[in-house]
Amino acid sequence: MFIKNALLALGIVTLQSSIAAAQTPADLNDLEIAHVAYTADSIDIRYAHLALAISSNPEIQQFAETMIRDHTAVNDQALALLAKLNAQPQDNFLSQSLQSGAEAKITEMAALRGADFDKSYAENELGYHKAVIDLVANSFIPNIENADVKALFEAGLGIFKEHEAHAEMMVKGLK
Amino acid sequence: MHTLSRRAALSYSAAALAVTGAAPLFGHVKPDGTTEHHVSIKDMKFDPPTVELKVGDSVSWKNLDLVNHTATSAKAGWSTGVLKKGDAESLVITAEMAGAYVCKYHPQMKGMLVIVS
Ligand SMILES: [Cu+2]
Repeated sequence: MFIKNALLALGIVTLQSSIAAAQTPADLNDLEIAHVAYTADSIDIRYAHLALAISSNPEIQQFAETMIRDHTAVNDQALALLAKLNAQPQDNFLSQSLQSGAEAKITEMAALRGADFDKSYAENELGYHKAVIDLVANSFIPNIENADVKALFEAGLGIFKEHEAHAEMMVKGLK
Repeated sequence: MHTLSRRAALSYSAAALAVTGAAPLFGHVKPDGTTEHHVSIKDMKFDPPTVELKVGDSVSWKNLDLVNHTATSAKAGWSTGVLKKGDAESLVITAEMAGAYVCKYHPQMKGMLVIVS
């Protein structure tokens, strides 16, 4: 249920039935999970760059800068860990779904300006972080086998929860 | 009397250090009689969130997270500056610095300096 909600929030509605039939996030191995996490971080960095380019709201700008700083730090740490483990992240159905969901969202948001953009960005950040938190907490952490990888995801979860609360504050502030 | 209580504080502090390792929750008394208090920044929290101290004491913030943090009070006009993973910064506390502070990047991270006499 968590997973289905998370996927819906991430914009993967059309793939829902095929996911139910074939694969679920809980079936992914550690290297596929690492790939999903790297992809999810990279997507949030792309959203943030869009916000820096379009928004003139200082609160949105500062939030976006924090997203770039923090998600880059998490990804750098993930790459360092994968290098240490001499492992390569593996592309998979969920990474691909996230990517196509993000393309659609970026196209949609890129057409907006001013307060319309700010509202859309803030609400998307709130929903996106909620969905990623659901995935990490309920599908990934219980299934990760490597202790170092698990520790990194636990650290990531704490960071994403702070971002979620921050995004919630931002959404309320824009109303 | 003063010397005695300071010695007591020193041995107490040493015991606290021995128990808790690198990040004692209790401050340690420096040769000039002021106390250095330690705040760890870990899992997106200041630990301990509230520090009771005297004017002239110092607080050392150490970032144990993988993302950058600060301890900042815009209202009182002070900040540790950016603390990267593993960085620490110590500030001597003046009366004006009392009150709430946050991480400037993460407004959900809240801390407090309380001056006691
Ligand atoms: Cu912070």
